[in-house]
Amino acid sequence: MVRMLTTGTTAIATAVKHADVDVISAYPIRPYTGVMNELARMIADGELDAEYIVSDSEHTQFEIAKHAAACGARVFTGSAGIGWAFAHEAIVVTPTDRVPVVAMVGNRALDDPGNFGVEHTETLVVRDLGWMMCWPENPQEAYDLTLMGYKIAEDPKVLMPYVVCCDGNFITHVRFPVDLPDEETAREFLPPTPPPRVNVLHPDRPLSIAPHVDYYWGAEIRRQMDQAMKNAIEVTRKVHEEFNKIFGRGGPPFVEEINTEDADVALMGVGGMAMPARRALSQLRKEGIKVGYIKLRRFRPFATEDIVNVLKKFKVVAVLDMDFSFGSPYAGGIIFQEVRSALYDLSERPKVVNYLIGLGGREITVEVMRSIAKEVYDIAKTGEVKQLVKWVGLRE
Amino acid sequence: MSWEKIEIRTLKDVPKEEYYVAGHRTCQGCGPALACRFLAKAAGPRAICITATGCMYVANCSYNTTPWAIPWMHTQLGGIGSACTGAAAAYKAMMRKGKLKKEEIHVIGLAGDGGAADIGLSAISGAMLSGHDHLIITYDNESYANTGIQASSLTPWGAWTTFTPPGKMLRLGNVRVKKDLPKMIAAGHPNVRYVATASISFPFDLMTKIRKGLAVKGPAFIQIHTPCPKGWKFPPELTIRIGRLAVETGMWSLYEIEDGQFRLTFKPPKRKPVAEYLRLQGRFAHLREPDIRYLQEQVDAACKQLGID
Amino acid sequence: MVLVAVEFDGRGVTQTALLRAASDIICAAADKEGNPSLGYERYDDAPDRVGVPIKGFSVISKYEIPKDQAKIDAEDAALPVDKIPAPVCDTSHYKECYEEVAGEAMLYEPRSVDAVLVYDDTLIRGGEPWAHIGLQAIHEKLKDGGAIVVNSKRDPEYLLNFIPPTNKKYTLAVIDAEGMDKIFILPLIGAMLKVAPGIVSYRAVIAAVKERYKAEGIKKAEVVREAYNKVRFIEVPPATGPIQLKRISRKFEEFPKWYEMPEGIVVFAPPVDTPNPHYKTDTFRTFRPVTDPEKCNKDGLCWLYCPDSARSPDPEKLFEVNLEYCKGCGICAEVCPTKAIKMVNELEFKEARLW
Repeated sequence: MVRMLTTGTTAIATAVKHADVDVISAYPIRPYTGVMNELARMIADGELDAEYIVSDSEHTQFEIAKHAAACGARVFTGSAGIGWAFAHEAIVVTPTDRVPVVAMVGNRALDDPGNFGVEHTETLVVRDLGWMMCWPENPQEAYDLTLMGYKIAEDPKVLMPYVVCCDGNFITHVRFPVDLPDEETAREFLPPTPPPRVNVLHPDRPLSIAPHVDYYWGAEIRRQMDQAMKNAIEVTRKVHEEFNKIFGRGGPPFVEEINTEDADVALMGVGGMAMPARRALSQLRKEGIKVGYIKLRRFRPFATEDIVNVLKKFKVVAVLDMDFSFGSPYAGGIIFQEVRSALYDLSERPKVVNYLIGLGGREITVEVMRSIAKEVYDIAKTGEVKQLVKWVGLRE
Repeated sequence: MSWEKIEIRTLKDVPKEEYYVAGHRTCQGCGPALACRFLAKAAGPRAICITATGCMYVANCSYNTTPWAIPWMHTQLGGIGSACTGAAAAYKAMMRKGKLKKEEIHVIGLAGDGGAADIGLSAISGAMLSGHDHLIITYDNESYANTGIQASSLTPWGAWTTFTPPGKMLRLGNVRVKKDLPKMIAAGHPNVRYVATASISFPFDLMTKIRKGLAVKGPAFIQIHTPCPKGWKFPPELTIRIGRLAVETGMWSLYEIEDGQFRLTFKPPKRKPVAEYLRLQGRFAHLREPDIRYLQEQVDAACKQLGID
Repeated sequence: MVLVAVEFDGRGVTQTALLRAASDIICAAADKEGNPSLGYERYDDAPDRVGVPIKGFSVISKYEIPKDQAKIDAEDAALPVDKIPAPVCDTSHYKECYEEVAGEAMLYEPRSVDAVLVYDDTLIRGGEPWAHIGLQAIHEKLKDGGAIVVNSKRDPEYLLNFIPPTNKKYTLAVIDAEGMDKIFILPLIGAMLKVAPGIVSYRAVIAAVKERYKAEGIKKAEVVREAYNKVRFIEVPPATGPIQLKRISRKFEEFPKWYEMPEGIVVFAPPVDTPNPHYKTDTFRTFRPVTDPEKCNKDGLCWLYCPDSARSPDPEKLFEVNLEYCKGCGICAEVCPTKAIKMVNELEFKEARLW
């Protein structure tokens, strides 16, 4: 164990080094650039042997990553906000080509206007394409989820790309105490070479990847991807178990309950907001108000069974969305809509309400969490929802 | 044109009005900021400026404010070519159809070296080809500066950046050779009537070229060398001196290509050794004698070709 | 449980790495005592620009501040650094403390700080970090009874001329940090330990410094010790009477409401020749240009080459500089062919007060 104070970007760079990545494609954009700076330094100092390509754009980055992976290499790339959006074409075809690319996103509000503050929308909008998505709560988890990512993505039953999403500034830039394993132990968990698979370009086995098709083929190809995402649920469970055995941590694979004993009411969200939530709910519990927090560690695949099992016991669930979805049902956030839909079939289902929080990178204080928790607690008491979707902290 | 004559030869010819005003969050001694000030002065009030993401976006507008006294709009990092085409085409069509009064409106696009030579290259090429009336300007501070100094394709050989750090195993820093963007634009787009290079340390030459670029019908392209204290690691008071040294050593050259004709607009009387330019900048501090000799050879060859020597 | 914090005020680009280093040392010291911490630079200060005022922080959660910390520190500081005991690492409250400090992790600044360490003494005039915020006083985040520690060759009484009055009482400490060591954050930290005891213990800092600087560890730790023992300070009582600030920092609530803003992310242009009223850039300045009328030949190059359009074009006014916007970059002094312009430290001018 190496105990140090470090940021999410450095923690992820360390995981990438431990994973013995072969090809890295870099392009700068705030707030994820730090991971690429650190990797450049590691390579320049001889700590990591990898091809590091300074790309001319994000589209190029993700294309380089996809094709390097298609030749069997272990790769790493990443972006943020509008940069991730520029890479969309490449992002679309990476899961369809069934290559295990692992990327990092430094969550950042989408342009226009330019804004370095965190929002989750840029990654959430590609939720339909087949990328696995997870959100660490802190730099420690950023390391863990990245290392696990390679193992999950490269599993022959999965072969789908994977992105680790870190809140801009709060997880990318702030230095936290972390325990990072040494390289040897990390490689016990994740061997340096990916497991063999069929769809790799090499003269020893000639094949064509992604020929043009017509309507005879399309649906079946999609169904294969659909199955891969379903398999990812079991594979993720297995990998978490292995991780736990070696490192003694990792938490439940998809959804973690925090402070939920005897609580009728829960808040739910992804990313760093779990931290002020924990604090607020601990305090409230001591004051006799029991509200739980449901930390969604992974958003894709959406482990419907796990999530429904955890949520069904509550009277009210308040989804905290650090994202927006203009013109959507009830004009609510993205995670809110998905959670509501997941709970629809229950004969007795919790009320699901929505708070749009921290948009544009606005701070999230313990006090804000307390007031949301109290409001939701009152909804359970009175049974009355005054506002289904609420914008928090707006100047209005 | 809203200016009496194109040529700016002395201080008297320089407009006194500020169209790029004080009150922006650029570095002390910011080269690109001075380029903005000069181009705004030369262009005057009948211009709009579209700027791609970069220092001249974020540092100018930090936050939700503006130092531009002329109409201005942000576009995405790779979008400068398309943005200029869109704007120029709009004015052209509306004026032709009588929907807008026929009067002088210049479209200026501004992008950093990353936005122009890398992610935005394809769109700039398209803009040059589609032939609308605009002037695309690149402020070349030889890195992605706004994101904390990363290598672009216009970063010179041997420079430190955070993506090309000199280390225990890889000691050179950036090993890619700087792309020659203005010549690429000129060579690849024979329809373009004006391509030029400029420097903030030669302001009269720069401002004249801006006006020439705006006066010419159709697309024009100018690349301005803009020393950057943060990225090149020098004290801010040296910005102008370093810009001059770049030209005096031949590491940057001042020329224009007008209707296909190449012409140097400045020839250093006796070219100084590149070491004089390099040793003032921390980004080259790790270079050794053989590296500097290599750079000198490259520069000597380039200058011979351009007719500088 | 108690939250303590330190603020580091410096100038962008040239001092950013030092802001980070100081935060790392304080956080490492906290770690040695078994206390969790967060270290960060203020996000909106970046991209950092040469000269712009920037801030960094360390935020620590401890179970309690030992009542006799000052006494223990003073005893330790009387001994050579290799003769003092190692810090005690007590993690019995780590989990609650971690939850407390992590609860503050989604903030850009701590709510309040116990000490402000100032790297460039001209920053005591205040800092205007970006548009619309206005001028932030050096003690803006300081707790009542906290300490401001300034790297300066001047006397604390002199520095008081430039610090706006406040209702808080504070200790104003001065140490010639740059004169003591080129890693001048070390004397600042040493001085802080003396005037703001209890954030981290002296022995924890010594241990952290020794570890960080390896072969030079003992030497650098001695610098901390020296500063601890020679810092000069005065106690500043709260100001009485109404506090008139010429430029004050705007609070979040004063910004326009969403329906008061023009549609389409529109900001109206300033009139031609009018500096941007929403952002004064004078707090970038450590030095200001002063023109010697005897030497000035009115060639106008100073006006021509100013990246900030901060000079008047009028030769009769000797291209007078607008002191609300001049960043003190020094280009005008450099390009002046008659060397008529000298760059003079801001604190030479009493009217450099911004209140």
